[in-house]
Amino acid sequence: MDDSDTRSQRIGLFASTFLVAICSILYQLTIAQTLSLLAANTVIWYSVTVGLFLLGMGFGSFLSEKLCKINPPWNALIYVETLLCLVGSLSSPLIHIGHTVTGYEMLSTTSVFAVFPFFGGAFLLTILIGILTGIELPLLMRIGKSLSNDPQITYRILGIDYIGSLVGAVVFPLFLVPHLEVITIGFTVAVLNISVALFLNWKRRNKRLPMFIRAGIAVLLAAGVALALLNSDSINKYFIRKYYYLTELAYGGGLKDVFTFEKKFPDVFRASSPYQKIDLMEDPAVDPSKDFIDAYSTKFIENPDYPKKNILFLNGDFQLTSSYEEIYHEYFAHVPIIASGKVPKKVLLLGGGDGLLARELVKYEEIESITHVDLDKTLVELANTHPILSKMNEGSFQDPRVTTIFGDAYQYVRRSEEKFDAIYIDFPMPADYDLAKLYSREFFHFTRERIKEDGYVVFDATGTGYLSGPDRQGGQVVNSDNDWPYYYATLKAAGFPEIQPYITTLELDNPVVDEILSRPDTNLILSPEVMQMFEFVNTPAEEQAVTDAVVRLAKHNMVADHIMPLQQGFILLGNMIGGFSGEFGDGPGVPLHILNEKRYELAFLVDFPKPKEIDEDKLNSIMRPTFPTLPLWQPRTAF
Amino acid sequence: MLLYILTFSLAFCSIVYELLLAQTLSAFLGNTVLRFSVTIGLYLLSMGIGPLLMRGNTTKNPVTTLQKVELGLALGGAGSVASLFLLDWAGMPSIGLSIFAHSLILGIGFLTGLEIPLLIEIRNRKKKDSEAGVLGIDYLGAFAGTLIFAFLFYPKIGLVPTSFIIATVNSVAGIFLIRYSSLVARERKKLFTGLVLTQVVLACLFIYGIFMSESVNDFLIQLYLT
Repeated sequence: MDDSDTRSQRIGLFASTFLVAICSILYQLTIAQTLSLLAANTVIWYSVTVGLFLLGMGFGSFLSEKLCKINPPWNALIYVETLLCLVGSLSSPLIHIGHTVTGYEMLSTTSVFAVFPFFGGAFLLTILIGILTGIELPLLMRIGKSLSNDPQITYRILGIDYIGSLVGAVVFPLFLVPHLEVITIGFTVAVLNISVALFLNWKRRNKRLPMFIRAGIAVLLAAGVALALLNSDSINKYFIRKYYYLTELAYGGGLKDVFTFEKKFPDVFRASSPYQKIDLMEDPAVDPSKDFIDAYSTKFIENPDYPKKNILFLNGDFQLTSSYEEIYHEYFAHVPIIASGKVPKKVLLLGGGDGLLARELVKYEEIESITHVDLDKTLVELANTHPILSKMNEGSFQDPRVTTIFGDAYQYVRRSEEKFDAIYIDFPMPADYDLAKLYSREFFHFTRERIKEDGYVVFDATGTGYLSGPDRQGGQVVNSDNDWPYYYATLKAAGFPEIQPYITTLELDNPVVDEILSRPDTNLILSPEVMQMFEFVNTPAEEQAVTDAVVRLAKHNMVADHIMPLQQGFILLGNMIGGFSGEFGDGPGVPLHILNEKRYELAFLVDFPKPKEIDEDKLNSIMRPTFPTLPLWQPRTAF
Repeated sequence: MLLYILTFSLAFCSIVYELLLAQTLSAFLGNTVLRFSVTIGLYLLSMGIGPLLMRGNTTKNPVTTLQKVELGLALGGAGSVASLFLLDWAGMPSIGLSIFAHSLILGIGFLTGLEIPLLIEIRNRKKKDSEAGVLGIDYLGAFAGTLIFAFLFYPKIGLVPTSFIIATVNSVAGIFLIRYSSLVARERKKLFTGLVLTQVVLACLFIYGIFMSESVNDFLIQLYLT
């Protein structure tokens, strides 16, 4: 072999090392991203897949030695690359299938094994990719040694491998995720990967195994991956529909029916931003709750054109449905104004990029300015331009009093010097360490510094709406799985003297509810804990009390079934003890669809325990997050 | 066996340092996903620079060099969280913080990158063997590090105690390098002994730090909030 040939071989080797390193890290990140889209808590799933990937790599590098004895390294490398391309391109679709199977199983069983097709499948694929990558590097080093006498060549290959990984790790979040679906990313990387395998095939045309078999397999695979890449749009759409219409697809059918393509469901609108997937879908279910909604809200009576059954999802998590979003937004916007007794002049709105909370706020002429801070420009632009979203928010961001600043709300409250009369915080729930920061003691401390002495802060406290069913007196208490203690410890540590929770409670004594309950075909499904109450009945008065409680529970369940976010918790914060005792009076003086005097009273009725001591174990801090409190092994589902 | 344990704990410590830095930096600058990706990317890059710069004289005294690397890692790692809070309190603008933190990430990555070739070198001197074993254990250590950081260190223990725990592990690993003192050249024996003694002092300090971490945590938070 002459010098120039060795030289070109070495350059080929370095280039291959660089490219396969990029491919491997991208496969791993693709799996991580798929997992975090289909199960909450991104940081955890990124860490777990990085870890499993490294574990597989460790195992692979052990295997590599054995493999080298069987095969000359060049050949082994070609097989490894071909396999990597196959596993890598299929991993994201396979995890999606696993998620659908798990989701289907979970509709009928609570067995822990139901989650296996999803998590187990994803973990096995990650380890497999890791093993193949681990085999790769020592093979490259061995080839390097055979090409050069330079004792440092192995370190050089290691170095190039690391640089390739850097390129992959930076390109993925900055350029790939904002523009491509994960499945498409997988196919794209596989095309790159199989090109390297083809190149290696071409370079080593004189080895033992007939070239046409080796190259034939690679060419076939290349054609397959390229075809998949061209069709990735419809493959993505297929899996998005599986995610959102799973319940409908599974209804009355077997697992086979879930995977059969169903045309009758409308397409889901999806927009991607660097931060999230924004999905808007039309609920295909026949709406049985129309009577209920009209009984509780005047929205569709006054505005029949308002979009019905349109549901907004961010990263696959339910945000709001146009059918009854006003329960949420009216309590959110108006209750603090009534409770504090005056309309704020200068408002800060953090998050709420859909524009629906802003729609409620701009109704007040007294509000002089609304500073809106949002991370996601794509969402805000959609809120302004999308035909359905803009109809829902009534173009609230176009109000001249609204100024939108695109940026991190945490950084804004920390760096800003301004003081506001009111701060409204409308973030997604703390399902992630990243989002947990927006519910931390530090964040609330800075938020408190941004309000005037008589100002208030209000936020949507997901997880504080978990209440026990009505007890014998019809009252409700905080459940053991309620997140209130976490919020309370955090807010107290942040220094708020006044911490006032409230709940979006609808009254159960409603003629429509009574009428439906009195129908003969209405089933009263009683929970075991309610049945237990009958065991302690001694007197007729007690029996009456229990019967009343049972009826209330049935009503409660019925309303909850029809109007999903029936009990959503909010927390109102201020600098003055007893600052939130305002009476409803004649109402806030702006048009309302839901909120009235009765419901305003009910909102404050639940008794939340407020211990004097701060429970340090529950305090959510940037130094140590206690959110999310959700179970980890829970696949994300649309509903 | 000891070499494998050392390899494991060093890989474990390094990845945890980087995750600590990524998490702390996101508290100051926001955008966690970007922070994590850039941190992991820079870490891998600087790990690549380490072996690329490897020359004959660096590997001539692998044990002493490794001891120096460990000393650097123990100090850099222990100070990582606290130094960011102190600089922020001292009024350093975010661009300065960013440069400082990313230099730390690069520095820690660079030192980590030196570790693997040095460990392989030590192993080769003891008995002729391939790099696959050390490399494999190195990956295992990183695997353990990411999982324990995500499930235990960050949500249950917190950033400040974690930084002390990891620094302690690093120093103790350095002390255990004494087993390979037979490989240290005669003229470097004094230097090596000095380095080991420094590690002993540091290990004691870090263990004290673990016990004091609640007050350190409160102190840093007070700086951060004012």
